[in-house]
Amino acid sequence: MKDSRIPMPGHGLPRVPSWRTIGLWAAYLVAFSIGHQIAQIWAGISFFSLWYPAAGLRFAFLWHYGARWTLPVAAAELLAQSLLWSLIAHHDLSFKMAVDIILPSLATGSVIAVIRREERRNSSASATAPLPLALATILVPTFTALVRGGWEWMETVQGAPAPDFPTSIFLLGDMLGILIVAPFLLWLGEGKDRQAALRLPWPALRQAILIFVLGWLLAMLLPDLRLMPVLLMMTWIGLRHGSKLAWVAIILSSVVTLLWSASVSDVSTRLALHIGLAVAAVSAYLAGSYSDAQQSARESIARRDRLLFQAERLKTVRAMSVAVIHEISQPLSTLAIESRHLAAISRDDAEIAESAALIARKVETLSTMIRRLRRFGGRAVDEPSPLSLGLLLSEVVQLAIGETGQRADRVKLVLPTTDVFVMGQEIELTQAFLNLVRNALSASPADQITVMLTADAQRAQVAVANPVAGIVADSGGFGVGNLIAGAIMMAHGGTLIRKDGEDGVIRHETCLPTIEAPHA
Amino acid sequence: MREELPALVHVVDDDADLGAAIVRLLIRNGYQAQSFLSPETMLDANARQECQCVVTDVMMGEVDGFALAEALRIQNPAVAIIFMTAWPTTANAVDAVRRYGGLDYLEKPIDEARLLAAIAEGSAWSRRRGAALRRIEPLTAREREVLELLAAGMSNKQVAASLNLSTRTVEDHRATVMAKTGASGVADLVALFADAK
Repeated sequence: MKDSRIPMPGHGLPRVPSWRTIGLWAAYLVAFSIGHQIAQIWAGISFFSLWYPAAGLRFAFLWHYGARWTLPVAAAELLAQSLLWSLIAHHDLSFKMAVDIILPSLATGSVIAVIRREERRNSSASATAPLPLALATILVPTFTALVRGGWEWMETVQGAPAPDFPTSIFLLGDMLGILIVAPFLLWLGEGKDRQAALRLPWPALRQAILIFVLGWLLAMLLPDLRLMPVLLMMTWIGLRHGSKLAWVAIILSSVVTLLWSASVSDVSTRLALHIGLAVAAVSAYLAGSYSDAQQSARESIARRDRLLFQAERLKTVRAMSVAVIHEISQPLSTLAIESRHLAAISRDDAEIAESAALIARKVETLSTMIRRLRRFGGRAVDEPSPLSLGLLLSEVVQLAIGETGQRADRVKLVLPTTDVFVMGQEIELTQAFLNLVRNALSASPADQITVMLTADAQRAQVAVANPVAGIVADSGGFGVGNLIAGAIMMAHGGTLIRKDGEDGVIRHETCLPTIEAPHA
Repeated sequence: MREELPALVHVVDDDADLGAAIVRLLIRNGYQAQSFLSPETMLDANARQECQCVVTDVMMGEVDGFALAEALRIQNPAVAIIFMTAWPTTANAVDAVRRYGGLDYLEKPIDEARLLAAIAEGSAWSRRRGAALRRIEPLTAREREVLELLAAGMSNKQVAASLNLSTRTVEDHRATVMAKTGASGVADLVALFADAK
């Protein structure tokens, strides 16, 4: 299974870099150098560039590979710029310039590390993807500009000459660079499904194109409005179609604006165009990301609704089964008494006696089953209580074997020497583990499955492992068993994770908080 | 010696077939038995002829098995009560034994052997308790107090001190208790008191 998690900020790169790491670093160095040089097309006499694509490359790289790459990225940028500086301008790099060069990467890495950490910790709407990314695209250039401004101010105080590039222009260049380049690079890294997000039904696409053209026509025809119609148009597209389409609108608008501004010699007009584009792009990207986050929240609510519906249905089924158990147990009592009596009085006729004894045995089996069923589903109120996981798993294994008519050795139950206790609802937990064991049995019809309980001071872990069968067995279910099991574990403060081992064994690992053994 | 009649067992269940099956089972096992569909009709019958043991369902109509037990205790303190239910709960099981003096709490479908064992134990207990109650019935309140303290293992002197009586008076009460109950000694008194409790 591919691990696509972002590394923890505290986890550094390996001490001995692999060839892949070195290759990645070198590729970044080359790409950054190209991005840096391209930016000069939109440079002015007193500033470096109004659009800095290398900032977008840096942002996308650190967002995708993690903030642990901050120092290597800073080193690559330092090397790239010093080489470019000495090769093209034939000057040596001063200490001040070196600090100027590495400050943006350090600031970008710091902001991304903080946002990524908050994204993991926080469960509020602002932490719903892709809002963290959208916030990062705004906060990174802002914070970078602040750091750079602060650094320049300190130098000015110490008597250095005023900076060549005003901080506001630096902010503008970085922001446009990030908004235009980073989403595209991150989209490339999304994998096979990336094109699906861009697909739009024709009526919606036609509407978006019309709005786009209208926005730009108004902006061209009414230059006094600056890029206001473009801003409104892009925000509308973002809200309506999400961040991906917003980004397409940003790209198309950027192409128009950059081509336009590259041909304009008047610096103030150029600056106005770029500021307008930056504001429109920020607005569009935030609107699009908000729309995506809302869509994702809607899907999450719909998923939970389905689970709730399933739980309600289970509750109804349980109540029905309890009622049926009650109704059955009455006549079964009568049958049990009478069949025994019949067996006892018909000793003279072997055939009748045998049949009566058979009925008596079957009634006894039914009675045992009814008592067990009642224990399983017959409680009106299932309050959380201390539960022995060992006992609970033994019962689950017995039920699973009993209901599927399997051999007893189909399930190997491994329990620790000391029993493990959790606080929970017995019926729900039994149902969850039963689902897992039942699924494992039907997924590996010919092999032994293992149910193993382990625990440490705080957590109990139950692993249900089954070898992968050559064919996919049809369990006859709808595949909601695992969803319900996961929901039940979550309700108990635990987790359910599926791990496909390289040894061909599928493991469903559940983790639950343990409690101390209750006093007898 | 007069031969003792078989114990009378009343079965109360709103399922007529089950009631009849249990009655037939009990008759086959040497008991007198009668089934009732409601607690009210059973109480009427018990007023006419006291039974030794009652096997009752817990959940019935307006009067459930527990209410029946309370009414029955007033009518006949020596009756043994066995509850049976298709809706067993831990709370009800505890109440059945501790609060309503039930001898057992059986889950349906009924375990026949356990039912017969409970009825045998209940009938024997009921006979002992009935006999003990009859023996101490003629005692006055003071004599019962003396009996209770003697059964607790006190000497005449300790009983006298406890009841603020003279030892001589206690000795008189003790002689009367022995005579009225027909007890042969202190050990018999202790057993009698235990049965009647």
